[in-house]
Amino acid sequence: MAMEQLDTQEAVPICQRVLTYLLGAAPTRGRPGSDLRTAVGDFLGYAYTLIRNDLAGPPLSDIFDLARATGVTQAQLAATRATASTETPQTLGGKLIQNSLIGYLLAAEARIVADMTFVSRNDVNTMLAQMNAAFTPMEEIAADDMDQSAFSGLVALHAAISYHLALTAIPLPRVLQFTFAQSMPTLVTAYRLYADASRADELRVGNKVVHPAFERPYGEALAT
Amino acid sequence: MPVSTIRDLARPNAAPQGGRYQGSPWRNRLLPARFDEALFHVETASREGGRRIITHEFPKKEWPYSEDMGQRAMEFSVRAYIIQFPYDAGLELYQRDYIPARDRLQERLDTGGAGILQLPLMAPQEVVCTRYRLTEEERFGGYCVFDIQFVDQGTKPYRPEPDTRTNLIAASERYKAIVETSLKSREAQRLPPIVGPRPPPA
Repeated sequence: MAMEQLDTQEAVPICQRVLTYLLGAAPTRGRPGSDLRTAVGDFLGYAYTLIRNDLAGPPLSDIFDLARATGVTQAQLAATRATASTETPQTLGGKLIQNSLIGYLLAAEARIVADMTFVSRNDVNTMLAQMNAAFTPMEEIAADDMDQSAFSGLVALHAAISYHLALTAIPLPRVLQFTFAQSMPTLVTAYRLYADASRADELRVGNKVVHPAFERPYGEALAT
Repeated sequence: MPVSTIRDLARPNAAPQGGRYQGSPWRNRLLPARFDEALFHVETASREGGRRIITHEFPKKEWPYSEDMGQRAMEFSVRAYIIQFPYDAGLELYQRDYIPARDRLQERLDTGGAGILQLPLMAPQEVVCTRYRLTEEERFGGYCVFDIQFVDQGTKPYRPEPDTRTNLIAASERYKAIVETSLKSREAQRLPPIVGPRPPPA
């Protein structure tokens, strides 16, 4: 049974807004970018027909795979997800599309997190907090809808990402605050902190130092 | 020219006087000895096992306590030999020239690593050679002896690390498939309708 006409009429603009935002957020240069633009353009061109006939799943899935191929970051996908979350559809079809878009975005974000490299434990904990904030409302919605399949899938993905991040964090150093009595070059600071002056660039980048000869006397550094 | 072997005695019709000789069951179980693919004859094969018992003796106490710390690693001492055969019978071990069989066994022992040790009357075992001695005497031409020590290979202790990245990717793909299914016809799936997030209260 196809989606109702009114539902489809509400669902199509949601797709347009979310996917247009995705195109704006994702790096769309080069061949992967071209493929993504083509896929989004194709989908939006036939969005009404596809959604009306319950055929939107595969092309939407392809779009988010192509978005990953462009090198889109988790933060960019999170921003796109936030855009999708602001939609307030009234019909079942509109809500179905909205939930599906958020679901695809969560799956793509999880896939990106799997390949991310973290520098410090604090970065991992920040990501974990973001992911928890993203998953919790969707789990609530799936539970309220009594959609067992979506709920179990969401919980499994949430658990997998939490476990992955927890284990990733274990060997990483913490970020600590340091304070010296006076401003020093990053070389000296690195030597004082790590007994290794070659890590000066790490301090310069991490603390956004304007000139490496005059680092602020306070800042953040990895514990080891 | 056929050569009679110890196996021939196991055959019922091999009774010298044609009596009711039924053979010896253990002879039927004799197997050619080998270490992986290297064949050899066996003069003696011994297996050494037991338990790792630690005996605690306490001061001012009359009774000790012998604590069982598990099974001792099985050790096998094998006196193997390779000898020239009266004629070339096909297998490397049964040749007039015993050198290829000797070299093959020596090479296998030198290579190291775990291998299957089959002794004539013992069950095959995965072992590793710890040391061996090759002896050739001038007065015994066409004959060499290997004194080999094997020890049970056992199992490498390990603690499997969960591959969380692979699990996460699999969970992501599964959830994507669920979302894709949810976009198909509701009636065909016979699933309850999905209701989206509720609008904020006015």
